[in-house]
Amino acid sequence: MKYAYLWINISLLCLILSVAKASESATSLSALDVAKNIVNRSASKARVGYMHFIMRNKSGSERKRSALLVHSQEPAKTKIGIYFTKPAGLQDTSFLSHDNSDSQDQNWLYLPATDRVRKLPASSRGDYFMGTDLSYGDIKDNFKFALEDWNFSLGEQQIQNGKRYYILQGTPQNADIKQELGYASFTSKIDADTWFPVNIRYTDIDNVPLKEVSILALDKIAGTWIATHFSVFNSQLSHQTEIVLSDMQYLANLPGNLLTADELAYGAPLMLLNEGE
Amino acid sequence: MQLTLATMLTKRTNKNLQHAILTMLSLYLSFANSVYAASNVSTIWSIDYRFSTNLRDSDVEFSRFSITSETRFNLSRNWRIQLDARAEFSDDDVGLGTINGYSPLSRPLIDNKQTRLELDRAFIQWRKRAHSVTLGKQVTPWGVLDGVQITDRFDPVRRRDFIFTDVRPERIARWGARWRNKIGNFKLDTSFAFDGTITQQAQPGALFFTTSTRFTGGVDVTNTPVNLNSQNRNNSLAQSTFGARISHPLGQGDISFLGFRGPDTDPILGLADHQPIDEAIVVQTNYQRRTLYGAAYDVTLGETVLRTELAFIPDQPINIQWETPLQSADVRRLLVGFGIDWSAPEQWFINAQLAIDHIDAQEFDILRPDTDTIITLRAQRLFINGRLLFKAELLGTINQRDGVLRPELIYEYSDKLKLRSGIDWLFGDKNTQFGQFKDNSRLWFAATYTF
Repeated sequence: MKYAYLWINISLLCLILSVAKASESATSLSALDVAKNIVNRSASKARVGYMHFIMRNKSGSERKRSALLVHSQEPAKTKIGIYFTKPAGLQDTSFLSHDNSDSQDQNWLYLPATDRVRKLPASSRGDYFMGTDLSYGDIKDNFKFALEDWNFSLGEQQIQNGKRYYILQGTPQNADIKQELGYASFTSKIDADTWFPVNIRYTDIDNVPLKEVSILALDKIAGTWIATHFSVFNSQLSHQTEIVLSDMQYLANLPGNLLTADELAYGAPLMLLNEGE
Repeated sequence: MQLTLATMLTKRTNKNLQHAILTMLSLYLSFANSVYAASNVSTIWSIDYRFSTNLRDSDVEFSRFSITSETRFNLSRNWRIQLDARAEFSDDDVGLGTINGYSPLSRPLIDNKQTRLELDRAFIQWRKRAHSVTLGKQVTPWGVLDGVQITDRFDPVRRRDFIFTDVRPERIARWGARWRNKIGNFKLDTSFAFDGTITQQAQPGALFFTTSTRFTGGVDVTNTPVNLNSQNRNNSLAQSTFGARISHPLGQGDISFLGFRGPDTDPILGLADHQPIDEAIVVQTNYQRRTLYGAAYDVTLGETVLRTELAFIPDQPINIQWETPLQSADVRRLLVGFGIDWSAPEQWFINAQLAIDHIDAQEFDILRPDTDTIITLRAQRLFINGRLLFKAELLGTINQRDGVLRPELIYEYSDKLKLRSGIDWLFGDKNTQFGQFKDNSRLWFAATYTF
């Protein structure tokens, strides 16, 4: 009996120690560790779906855009194809970007009126994308903060409804990056379960609050978390962009020639289009 | 004789009927789609009205209403059909342009002085992986520069509005076949247009009818009564255009070489064989075939794109000054163009181009400068979250000191309605490319509803 009590005490001690250790490891993550966890968040090799933009100005007037989005991730190259389906005036306009880690980035645009695929200069990451409140950098970063761009720090952790959230803050590593990104800082609340931001607040290069990105819905597609509903509010312009992704699918075998400049002139890839869109 | 006449009538009727059926089919299916919303058919309708007032006297000189439809049938993964039609109505000094340069198969279905109904595109396309075959009325847009035609001379274009079109050049589709394929990194593009349609000009007396003597064979058409006769266009091999282009990646860019033979974009003027006494002289316009060999290269370097094109025409037909008027000769012509696109700070987009057009005609006295140096400069930026686009461009000939300055605002009122306004301010000597129209400097407005 005496040994039994001793055994229980030792077991309890071990349990307390292991919980304490686990707790310590959770709280001892550095800002860089959190940023790395976000960067290393799993990403599908190729996915396709519809992207719907709703842009609202301060008077409440709305403009809407819909596009087929094809995204492909290769070891040294990220390819994004955007094929507009609505409104009618933009239909068949297509945009393709190849972000290369070891060579020049390449962009192409197909305008049906010109009948020609045209090379575009790479936009600055701080330039706004197609009249939305998202910058090209925001689109390419996919809710990640590039380790080579930012210096990170951590704010106080938050526990809400039993879930742990990190508050990650960042400032650009130098003045050039600041100018290029168009941001002087960000503060983001990170869900420790998914390593996905819940929201991101950016300040402009003069450190004045600029915009807030709010993730409104996440869906797990083929083991990868994807933000399927989010909004961006530019407080300086009182302008909001709401983005909804629908019919997102993981593509196991994306045809190799699909995301190429030559294909752009043929319009949205028919094989990926769903009826009714 | 009766049989021949009957055959001719049948042929003509068949051609008209064929054209009518295709146009009506396009319009009907466009309408049917909007009613039944068939999922594999998409149609875009566009209603456009535009007018302009002369900057000097505020007269309304241009007023055009147009309706266009673009219908696409996605038959399967590999097959699609496209049918585009346009109806235009105008009651102004600009007009709808000449149609005597159209081949019978391409002629408008309806053609009145103020109303015209045309089939813009009508083709069926098969494609699989990097291979495609397109049969029907289509365009072949080659070249990499922006609106400056160095190697981009395969298609005829519309010149009724001079160069004041939303898209430059405004191509005219022709009946033919195009085959594109890829072998390794080589891309081969071959095109054959059996349709003899040539560039559309402004009607004589219209606002943008060319009067500069470089285009009129040296004849002063403003002071000399002239009747213009056009060579009949048909669908024969003799008036066809055939060409091929091969492309390959080079460094960070793409290089292409091309060659084609077909009717020239500009006419040669000659005296008609029959001249009536005591009436205006009859001048015949001919579009002789010539061969163009060319090369193009474009490359992205960060926030800039560099483009260059080179074209050589060994048999360029031109009018020359000789003992008798309206004589012509074949000479060598060399065209070179350079362009740069720059994604500038503060979200400005800058495009600058330089083109040199040289005629090697030492043995002849020609009616244009040996060398024209043309520049185009464009700056544009979006404002109000992309609702407002400001665009300004300068086009001009440096050696002749003529040109046009074109500031323009485009406001996206809603997803469907765009409002546009701008100024075309022309300057230069009255006998130059741009200067000949300097009295037509204008303020213009346009509203386009697309659904």
